[in-house]
Amino acid sequence: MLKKTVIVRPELCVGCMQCMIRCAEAHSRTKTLASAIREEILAKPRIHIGVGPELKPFPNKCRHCEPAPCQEACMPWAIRSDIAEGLKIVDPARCIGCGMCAMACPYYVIRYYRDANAPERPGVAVKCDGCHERVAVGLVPACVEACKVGALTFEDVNLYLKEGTNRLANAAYGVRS
Amino acid sequence: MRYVVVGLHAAGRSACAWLRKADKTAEIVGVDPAPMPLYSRPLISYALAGEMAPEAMTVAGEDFWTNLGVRLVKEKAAFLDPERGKLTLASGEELAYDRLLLACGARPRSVEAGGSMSGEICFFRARHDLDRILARVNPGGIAAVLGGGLVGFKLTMGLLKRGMTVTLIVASPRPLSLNVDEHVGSWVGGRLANTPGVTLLTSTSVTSVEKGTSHPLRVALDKGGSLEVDLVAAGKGVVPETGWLSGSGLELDYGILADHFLRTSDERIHVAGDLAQAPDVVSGDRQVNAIWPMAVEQGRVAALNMAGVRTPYGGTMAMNSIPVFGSQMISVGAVNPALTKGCDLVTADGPRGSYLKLVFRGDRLVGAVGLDAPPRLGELAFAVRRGLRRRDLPDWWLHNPKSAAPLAAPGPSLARNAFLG
Amino acid sequence: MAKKDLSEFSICKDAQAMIAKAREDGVETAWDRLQEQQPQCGFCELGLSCRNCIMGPCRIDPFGDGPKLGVCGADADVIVARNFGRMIAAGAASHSDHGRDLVETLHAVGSGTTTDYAVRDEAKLRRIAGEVGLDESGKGVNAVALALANHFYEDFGCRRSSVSFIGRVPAKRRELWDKLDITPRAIDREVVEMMHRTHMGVDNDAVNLCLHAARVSLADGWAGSMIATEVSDILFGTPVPRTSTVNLGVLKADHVNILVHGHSPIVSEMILAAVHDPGLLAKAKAAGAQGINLAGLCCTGNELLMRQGIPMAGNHLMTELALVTGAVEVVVVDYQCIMPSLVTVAGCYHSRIVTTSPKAKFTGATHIEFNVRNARQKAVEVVELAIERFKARDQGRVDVPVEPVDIMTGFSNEAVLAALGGTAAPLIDAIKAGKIRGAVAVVGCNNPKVKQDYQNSNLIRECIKRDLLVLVTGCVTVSAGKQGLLMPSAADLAGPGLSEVCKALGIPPVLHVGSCVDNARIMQLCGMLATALGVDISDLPVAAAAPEWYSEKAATIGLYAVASGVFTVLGLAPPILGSKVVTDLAVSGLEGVVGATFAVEGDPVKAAELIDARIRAKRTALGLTP
Repeated sequence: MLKKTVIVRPELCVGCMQCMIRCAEAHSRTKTLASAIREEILAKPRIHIGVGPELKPFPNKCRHCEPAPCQEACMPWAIRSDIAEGLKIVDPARCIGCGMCAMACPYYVIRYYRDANAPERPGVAVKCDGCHERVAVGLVPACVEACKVGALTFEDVNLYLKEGTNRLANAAYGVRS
Repeated sequence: MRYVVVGLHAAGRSACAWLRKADKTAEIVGVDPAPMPLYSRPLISYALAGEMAPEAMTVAGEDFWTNLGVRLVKEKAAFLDPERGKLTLASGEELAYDRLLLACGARPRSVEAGGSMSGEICFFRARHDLDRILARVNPGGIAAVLGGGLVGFKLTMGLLKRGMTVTLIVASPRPLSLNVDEHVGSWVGGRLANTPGVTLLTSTSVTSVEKGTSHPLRVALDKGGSLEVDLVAAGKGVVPETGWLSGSGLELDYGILADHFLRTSDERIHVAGDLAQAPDVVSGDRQVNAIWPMAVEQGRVAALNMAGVRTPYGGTMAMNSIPVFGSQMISVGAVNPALTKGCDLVTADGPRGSYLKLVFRGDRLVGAVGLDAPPRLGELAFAVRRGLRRRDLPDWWLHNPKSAAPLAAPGPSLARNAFLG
Repeated sequence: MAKKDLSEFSICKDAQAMIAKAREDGVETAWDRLQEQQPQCGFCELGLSCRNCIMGPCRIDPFGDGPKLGVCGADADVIVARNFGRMIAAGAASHSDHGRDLVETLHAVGSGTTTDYAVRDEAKLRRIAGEVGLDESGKGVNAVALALANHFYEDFGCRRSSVSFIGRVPAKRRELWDKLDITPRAIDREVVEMMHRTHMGVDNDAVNLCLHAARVSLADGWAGSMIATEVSDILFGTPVPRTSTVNLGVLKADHVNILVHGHSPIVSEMILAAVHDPGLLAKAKAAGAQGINLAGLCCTGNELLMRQGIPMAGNHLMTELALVTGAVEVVVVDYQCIMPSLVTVAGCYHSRIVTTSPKAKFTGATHIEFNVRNARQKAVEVVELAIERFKARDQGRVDVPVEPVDIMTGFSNEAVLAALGGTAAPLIDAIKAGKIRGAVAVVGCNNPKVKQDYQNSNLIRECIKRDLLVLVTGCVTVSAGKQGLLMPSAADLAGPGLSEVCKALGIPPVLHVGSCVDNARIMQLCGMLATALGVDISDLPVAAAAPEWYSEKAATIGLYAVASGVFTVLGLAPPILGSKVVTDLAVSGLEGVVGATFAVEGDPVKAAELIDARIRAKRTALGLTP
């Protein structure tokens, strides 16, 4: 079985943005909302909600590609595969904020902010790190925990696709699922 | 199976990693006269500007090679015999290969200037160049920088940060003429000219470098006059290192010609990085695009093909994103006027203070250049790569490109899948 | 929820036992539903969401990237202040509407419209009438009642410039309020004005909104609630010290069990009368019961406990669990703090929820509507329903898990003064001597976000250890009672000074003062002490705490305490942290405005230390030993 990953079902998203606020909270120093919002260098969300036609919300986050265009573009090798298996994680200590990774990313999931882990730099690349620290202690990623409508889940991608296959089967035989 | 990789910088490293992923047991030999310390060359700009300690340019230790099981041969490659499948090293030793990757990159183009001190001209490609420049840097002194491209620009800003005054001597009418369009080029030129400590000379070349009187060097200008300087540095582009391959029989032009699988004219030899002249996304022709992400990607694609995993190469594309006087400048694809003849140039009215120009050939987006434009380079690059059609862009967006969304959507097909059932 | 240990939900054995039984019986509780809600909305937690108009709904991103302003242009400070203002208005409205119903009842008594209700404390009626400036000499009790009711009606409208009981506020405090323009004018007026101000495009200054919120709360504490308390005493008797019992053990497996829940004594006193009806008793025995047992939940339980010594089955988080015992036939309710889930929980057993107020209907409950003319008759109907339900009880599913604990109750200000010999002088002397270093009101609710009764009871323990006399109201009464803290024997847990005084007087170190509207008694007491000492309330060595609060009413009580000059520690943060302006005002700025602030601290020891620091500072400033 593949490792679990965050599956996004954009059609279920209601645009409440809880994932964003909890992602930022999970990446703050104090990890509690009330104090996170008072930290000197604010944490930022790594998942973003885009707005589509008819204002349909669209959750967008790093897909941890393999090979990852961002990693290939990174000259100081700041995007690392060796921190957590299957995840591409930005090491703020190595990042020089050159912007090459955002150039390369086809999904627009990398942004640049001041980061509390590298406070002397005006901006480093910030993107989803798979909440590897949470997952390592048995929690689900913060965005998944926050999502009340099931638009973000933490599951085996093959099981998710199996579900899609069944939907296709229903559609093919004219049954609305 | 023995894979030999010549050149162990961006493309070569990437290739070794992917060769090992594809083939756990094969022998991989890396040929490079100086593979250690394992650093990334483009970081020398940051080291020059004092934004990074030179040691921080090193990105890995020797264990990078040992972990991959790559045998290092710390020599220069001298001669290639594709028919016999043998690579001759500078020492005379011969290295047989089953598959060969040529990734020995490019060298700085030399400056056509005479004078007894023309050997003092520093280039800016690798560590030794950085060391040479730093040895000549003196705060309060004067530097001459030759070349109005990105390297010349970075040299100028770096030397300024080091406390020198800089005269930037550009052969073209404006800086960055090969990288951006007239508007952005002129803007950069204007800002450069107004930067304290910088003197910008355009449409000017250096004819000779002699010993100076008040300063160590004197550069003579083609328009007449000369400058007394402490340091001369040049960034006049790079030339692929094809010299040693001229007798090999491989098809070459500016670089080594490669097909859609990064194969050379010899099916056992692939090429990647600044040496490769590979199909270009925008021109359809084969081009050398000597930039880091291209090299790393080509290293991977070539390696996979060498290992028997058929991997078509998407194509090279020019792209740049650099902070320029507090603004973010981006360019992708074909933007320099020489390449955009016959193209439709559409300037978008962005938010105040921003600039975005899109280049369409026919209906296809082939280039873009922007200054503090809302879309990031990644979005524009992706749009160019997949050939975004002009008709897919809403009219209102061209009048007010406040976000990159219209560039992003690949069309209704994605949404349809999501709503299936 | 299945994975959590029972002791993590509550410190009480009866709660733990019933949570376990609820799981077995398949009954969902507030704890389960809290879990389902996790994680709750971060924007709302911080007060940064606004639904006041449909240009929205809007939210402000506290991390700086997203929107900083609502569609109307309101920033985080305005949105938080508006939301907070509406919370306070809702709390004040609830207490005050309860007060209004009592005034209506007094009016009905006075005008002879009802014989179900009467004035039980005529002396208090005349005393209050005199206090508010009515001439009651020579008038009959009904006439005085009518006149007083009419007088109190005007507290609700906008024909006066201040409320009836403003005279109880020390002069210095009144001057301060006048200067700040927060002297409460009239109850409904302040609430309506707050609803007006928080409409889009009215008051858009956070500080201005907060000041009006203070005024709204004062219209509750010194008017709405105070009127409720005084009129309840007039109609149903002023409490005097007595004993009773508390916890689920007050339910009797061999009796018909009726629980009263909600707030006003208007309904619960009638139920009490009905359960003593000999005819109904006979019916109960005929149905196989040994008798009819009445016990209370929450505030109306507090009312019956204070005045009539009726035992209390539990507080807020016990209300569902009481039904889970399987021993309750009927829970009869009026309004406030009654969870709609009770209908579902009752449906898992033979129990019925009976609603009595047209203002508070619950889908699926049995509605038996009370008014001043039919109250006694309707109460009989309720008891008859309970007797009928007793026959349907499955004795096999009954589990009353504990034995009841003794408590002392009834410490109205009148009773306290009587115990002290008629004046507050002995109390003031004890305070001056440092035997009693000060007084702390520990009030409020339960909240499933924190372990039930842990913060309430442990803060009380920490305070009495420090020779601080504790006054309790509302749900904290049950928290304290179950831990034995409401008995004179608890003096052994108190510091030496407090212990000595309590033993001498035969009182507990923790005094039950009443229901949540009876927090007005504490305000009156503070006013009396301050006036006697010639100081402001903010100079007194007193503090307040709501360690496990949940409701809007509790927020209003906290605010009227602070606005009156009493430092108040909240055990959970109110939804204001999204605004630095409002938060800073609440926890520090208000000191310079009203002489007191809020603090947010759940840990009982740390909270006690904050309180102690305040007491020390105030004692030192008065020239007393710290």
